[in-house]
Amino acid sequence: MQLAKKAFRHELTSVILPLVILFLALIVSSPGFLSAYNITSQLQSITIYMIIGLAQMTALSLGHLNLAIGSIGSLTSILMGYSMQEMGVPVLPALLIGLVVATICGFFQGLLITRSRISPFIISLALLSIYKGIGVVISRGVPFDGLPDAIKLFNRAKAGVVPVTFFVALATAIMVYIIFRYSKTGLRVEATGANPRAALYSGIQVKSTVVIGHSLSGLLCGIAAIIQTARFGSAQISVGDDWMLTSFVVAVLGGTLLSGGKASTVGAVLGSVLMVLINNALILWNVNTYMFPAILGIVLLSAYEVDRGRLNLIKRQSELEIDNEK
Amino acid sequence: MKNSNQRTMISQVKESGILSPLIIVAILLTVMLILKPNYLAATNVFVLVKVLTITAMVGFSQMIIMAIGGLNISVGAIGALSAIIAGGAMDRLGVPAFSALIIGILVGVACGVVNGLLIYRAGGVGPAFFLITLATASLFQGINLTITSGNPYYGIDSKFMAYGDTQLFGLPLSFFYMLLVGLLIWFMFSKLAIGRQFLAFGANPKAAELYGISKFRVVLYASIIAALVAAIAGMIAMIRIKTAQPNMGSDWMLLSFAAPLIGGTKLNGGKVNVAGCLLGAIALTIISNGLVHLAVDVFWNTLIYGTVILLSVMVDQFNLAGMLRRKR
Repeated sequence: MQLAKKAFRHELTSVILPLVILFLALIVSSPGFLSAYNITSQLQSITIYMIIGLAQMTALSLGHLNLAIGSIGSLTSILMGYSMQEMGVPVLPALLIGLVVATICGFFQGLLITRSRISPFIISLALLSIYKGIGVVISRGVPFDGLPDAIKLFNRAKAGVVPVTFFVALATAIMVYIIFRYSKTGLRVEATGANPRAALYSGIQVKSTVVIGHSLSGLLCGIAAIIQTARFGSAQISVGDDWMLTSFVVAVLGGTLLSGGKASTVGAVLGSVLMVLINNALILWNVNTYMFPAILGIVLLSAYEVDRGRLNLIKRQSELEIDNEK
Repeated sequence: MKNSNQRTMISQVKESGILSPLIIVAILLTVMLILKPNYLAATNVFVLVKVLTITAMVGFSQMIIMAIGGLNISVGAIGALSAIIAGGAMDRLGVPAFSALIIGILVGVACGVVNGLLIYRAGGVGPAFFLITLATASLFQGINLTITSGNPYYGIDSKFMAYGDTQLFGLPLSFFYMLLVGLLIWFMFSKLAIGRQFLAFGANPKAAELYGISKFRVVLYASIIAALVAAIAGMIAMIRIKTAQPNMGSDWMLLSFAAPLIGGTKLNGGKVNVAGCLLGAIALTIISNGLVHLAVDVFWNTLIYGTVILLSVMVDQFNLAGMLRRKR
């Protein structure tokens, strides 16, 4: 019992437990689940979900939201497509352009948040339209589908059943983990998210920390955009269409505190796996696709509920310990 | 307010905080009238008013939640779900027009109850609003899609259209409903205890609670009233396009924030401006209608909307009205 309670208090339990149950249920119920084709395709989905989950987690740990995640992805994809197809830029420089564009998008968001006194939510909401709008104006709604073969090859390359893009995502996650766990920047971001005023008084450059955090969030959107573009085989405006909700679900499932001040990289990675398994289960169990948004909503609501239950337990436990010491 | 009769009209306008949105609307109208001298012809005004009605209602709905310091991502999802269930009741079940209207509005109220209870359970302040309504928006949209499989309902009772499409003084009746709703909201915030409690809670939730204002009541009632207004907006939108479209409210989120923000309502809560919200909606309507009139490529719309929101909030930051006052 004591052990069970201790396990429940651990922040990753709320993602690992459903993950294991769902995984076993899928193995038992659907023989197709462990087929090479299904594993590859699920890993491809995890790749995107993981990176956008990390992007949202970075913004959340600052105590902000990034509603523009999908739009940054969309704009990045369009600009990469434009530079490759219309300007004849080679693949690698074009990808670099994409990453720079995405970082600038995040940088600009951070800059607006720190330099104006407008609520971060409104800035993010406005930029959601502005970034998407720029992409629409440039592409005129038409996808760039004459991309070099190298892009498509990048998507198709596999090591066994594991797509190469998945390794890119893992490398990205490790990078984010190192930033938050071992670098001063990560510490500053979390401190700023936990309490901006206290961070300021302890000598942290809060404004530049916010800008750096948002730039990192933008950069991650750029990486996701490159992989999604490769997956589509064309640069189009619909890259990033469902990223906003998904990115929140992944971060919340992973136990990132929504009030800011805490980033759980491992949680976000596991959250993306759980999210993809849920999607995969719905498809393998032949659930009506029109019900997916409703189920996603319920998953999100239950994740909050679990989070709250855990926080209450921790609170009660610590109160009990204080009483015992008396 | 004892010496209000001594004040000039201009200072009253300044006091009420609608000077900035008024200037924005005036500039937009002037520009449109210069570019298109017959811009305010009766036919165009009719079109403007039809769009304005929905934008203003959606803005009102968001403004009520903003008053208590929250925000609502699910405005569009609530409007669409109410319209779909009312439309489906008429199309598939042959429910008479009036009952369908009641059903639609009750659906909206039910959505509001769900939102309110969940938001209260999640803490009732700050990020709870965003997180819960993000989830419920997905939930409501999913229910909507499950019912419709993405197909619209066309069999809307013609009596239903008559509720809002009949004309009064050459304008659609729904426009006057919108004005009535605005008036009622204004009355609630300025005269009724519950409206005062909303504002007090929005300004400072902790102080309001210490003062004996029930957080549960504020969050629940505000969510219900906001959802009710969103449901009415859904009904009016259904009357306008004469079908119940599953994807109806998908572009409402941005508009719902833009109208009150341009109108001087603050996202931090504690302050509302009904007339300002209406002016904000007018400004947005003129912009969207103007883009069509000036034959601007439809691809520019998203970009322009986003820029307008950002600029209007920035203008508010620089306090246009305050600058004018100081110069005098």
